[in-house]
Amino acid sequence: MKRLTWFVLLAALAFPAMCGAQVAEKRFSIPTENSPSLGPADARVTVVEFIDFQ
Amino acid sequence: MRSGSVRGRRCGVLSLRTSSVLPAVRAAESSPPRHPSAGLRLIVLLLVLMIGGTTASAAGLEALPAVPVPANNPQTPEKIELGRTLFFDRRLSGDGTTSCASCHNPEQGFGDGQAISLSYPTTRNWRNAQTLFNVAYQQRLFHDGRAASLEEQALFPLMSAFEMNQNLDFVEEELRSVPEYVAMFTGAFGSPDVTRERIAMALAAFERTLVSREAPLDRFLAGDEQALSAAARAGYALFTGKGRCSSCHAGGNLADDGFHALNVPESPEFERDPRVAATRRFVAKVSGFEEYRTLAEDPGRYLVTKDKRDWKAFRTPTLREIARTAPYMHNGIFATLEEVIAFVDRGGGEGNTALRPLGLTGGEREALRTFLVEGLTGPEPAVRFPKIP
Amino acid sequence: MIKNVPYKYRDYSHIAAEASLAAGDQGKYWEMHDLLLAPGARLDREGLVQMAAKLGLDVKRFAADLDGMKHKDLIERDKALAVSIDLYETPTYFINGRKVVGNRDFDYLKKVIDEELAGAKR
Repeated sequence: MKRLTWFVLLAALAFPAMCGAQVAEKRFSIPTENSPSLGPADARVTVVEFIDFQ
Repeated sequence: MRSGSVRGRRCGVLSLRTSSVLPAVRAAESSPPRHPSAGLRLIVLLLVLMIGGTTASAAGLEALPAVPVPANNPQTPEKIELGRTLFFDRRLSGDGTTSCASCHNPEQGFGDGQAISLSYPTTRNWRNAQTLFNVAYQQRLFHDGRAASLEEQALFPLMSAFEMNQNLDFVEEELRSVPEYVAMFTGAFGSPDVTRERIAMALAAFERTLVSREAPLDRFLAGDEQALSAAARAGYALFTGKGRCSSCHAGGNLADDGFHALNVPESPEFERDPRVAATRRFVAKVSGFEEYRTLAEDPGRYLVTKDKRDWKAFRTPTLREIARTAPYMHNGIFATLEEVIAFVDRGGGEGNTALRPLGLTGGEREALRTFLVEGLTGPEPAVRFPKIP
Repeated sequence: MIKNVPYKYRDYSHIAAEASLAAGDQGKYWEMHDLLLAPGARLDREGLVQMAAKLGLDVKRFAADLDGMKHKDLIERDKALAVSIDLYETPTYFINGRKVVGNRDFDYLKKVIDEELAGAKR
């Protein structure tokens, strides 16, 4: 199985989302100890990928 | 009478309305688009306003009836649980990467949040993955309506070269090798045999539990005027009035079981990615369309009926949970409801005869959007994830 | 950040995960990660050892780690985590906790990340 892995990079400016009635975004809290990672620990965005190399 | 299951925790046999499972026969004709005259429409609107606000029966929206269940595939807890397990099991795909849930993700409104659906590795799909919310209420399945029941629909993606790419004879044997599945099939159907028909029946039974019926609109239709905000109520009045939305998005499920050609723009993915075009030609070819080699657009239901009136006609989707199921249209061409409403307001795409310009103000378009988002979004669906054997 | 969820019906999933972590022990996690995901990558033991050699690793140590399943515990921990959050597909991404399921293209992931960056700035 081939995958694209996205690495956390420096910030880019982006405009805030449109206001108005919206559906809320659900967030998961994933423990991050001991897993290989790239980039600063206090980066603004964290991407955790659950992967199968095959 | 007991109603059908909403979330899979209770179930029973529906007696309000049973539909028999139709044979795999293509309908000869689609229903014609509706064009009430402007004068008649004005009279109806005035009557509606005089009666004092909107009532369901005056305007074409009504309470959702209980879930239709075919007599030859009644709902049972064992069958639903088997269907739930199969739905999330990637084993059903040729290379073990893709399950039904891959493109019908419960956390993305039972779609996948993309314009063009996810697809089998190395291929591209060519149409949007539709929501499975209230799919039990749809008489015909797929954008082009080629399946006449959930049971008939369920096996298509399994076999599709650009979706799950599986061989049905083979998957029967793969499942038969798993003792937990043999036990589940026995529990659901009374004997240990694993067949494609049973796979389809179990998946259909699970899908019949994916129902949205507890939205603010439902409470409003039951008499709770405060269930919709003032802005949403204004939007509802437009939906059933000046916007003429309910002429096609009718009834409890806001869908008319019809096919209409709105002539939305073709997806830019067709130009960008030759694999999408390959899929388009492939589907046309296996549908018996002779000019498949040079096909440059999505002919919609025409591929199924070969009726000229069905050229670029697509099934009216439900608007239930519409806020959860962007992007919109058969090719996901519109990312937001604003775009959809603007499209319909200007009378649809070039050359279409289903829509006419509405002349809505900006405020009216926003009110419609508020109604759709606020009125049709129910509580977060409570999907239990199965343990895959 | 990577969590390993080797599919139990795939012959080489576990050993490939071990290979990535064994390479990581020798300072070349992301290089090995990229080799494993390259089209046509050979993921059997011999193929993995060749990758280690290509990266200039201590092959003897790498092979011993592979054969001894040195990182089994961490992989099992990741698998248990996956089960606990009802994971049913790989890849699954969590971008600031927002779940994204399936093999998405670059633009889709970028859009989610950009939204999160915008939100994080406030």
